[in-house]
Amino acid sequence: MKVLIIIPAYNEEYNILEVVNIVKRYSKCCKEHKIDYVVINDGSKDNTESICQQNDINYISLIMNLGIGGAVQTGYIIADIQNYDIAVQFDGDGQHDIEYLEKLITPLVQAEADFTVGSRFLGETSKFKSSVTRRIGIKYLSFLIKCLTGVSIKDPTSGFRAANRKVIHLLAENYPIDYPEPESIVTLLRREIKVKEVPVNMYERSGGKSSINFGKSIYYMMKETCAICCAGFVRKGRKE
Amino acid sequence: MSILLRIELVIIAIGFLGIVIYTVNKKQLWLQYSFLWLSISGGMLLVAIFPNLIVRFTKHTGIKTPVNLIYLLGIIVLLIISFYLTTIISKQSEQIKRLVQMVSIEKYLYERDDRDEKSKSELSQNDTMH
Repeated sequence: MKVLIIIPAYNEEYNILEVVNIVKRYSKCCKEHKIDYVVINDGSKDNTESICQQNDINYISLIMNLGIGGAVQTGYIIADIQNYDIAVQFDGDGQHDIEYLEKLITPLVQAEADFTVGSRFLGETSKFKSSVTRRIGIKYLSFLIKCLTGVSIKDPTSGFRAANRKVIHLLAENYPIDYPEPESIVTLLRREIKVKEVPVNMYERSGGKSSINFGKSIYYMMKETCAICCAGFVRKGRKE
Repeated sequence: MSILLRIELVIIAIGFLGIVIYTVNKKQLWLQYSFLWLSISGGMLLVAIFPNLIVRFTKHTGIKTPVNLIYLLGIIVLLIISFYLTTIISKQSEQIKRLVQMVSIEKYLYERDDRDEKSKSELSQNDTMH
């Protein structure tokens, strides 16, 4: 299977090289799948781009900053154009553990699911579980999704996810702009896409800053509530 | 409706009409969008010239004075316009996003092909040298 790892990066000069090296090393070792990667540099203001250039990293530089959603969607568009079987989202800040990639894509390879979400809260694989306030927020979003779709997603904000060809096409066409993860899950669930959660390990950020502060987290919660509730009114399986 | 209010309405409507036509001619406003503003200033003129329309309608709807109805209508029209504008903004944001993505991807594919060709030609040069 052809797998594309999408690595969105915005101002990740401290992390990007290490993350890409880990991915490169992993793809060389993997024999069953042909694993490629692409870094989406979302108009970074720091040296992310020159680091990519100097180290012969396969990267796309967006000509304008689009936000995480727009960057990830660019990756899905590439995967769609170049006919990849599976696309994996992998954060450029080194939070995700590449060793779990195989587990993440197995349900897609075996056609058990169309879309998988790497979860910190499923099982005991991850020691890092985020701060208390964030966990409350995540619990709340998870509860909301459960209420509106009946499907339990323990870690809806996870950015470590994999999609098969059908979902790649859907996401290439339609993907939210900011804080896109929970919203896109709900949209997919409403389209009767089989979403499965897989326990994975995540690390604490090693460098750089998280994009979410207090003010933004309130906006985040309100926006997600709104998005999930609106999506709840979409009739099941309907195509736009 | 007092004669003063009517005169004021007529002046505002005509002034507004003039501004709309001027901006359309200067190409600062798309003709599609000017219909909206033209019909609004037309409506204002109509009300100012035939106030009976508003007065009669006021009685039917249980609103006390005609001027209140005008305010109400004004607010409703503004609501509709700003809603319409946000839908246009959303649509354009989506289009701009897609545009940025496609241009970036094209640029990436072009540069990649360019690099491939360069390395190929270097290889063939090396071949001929040996």
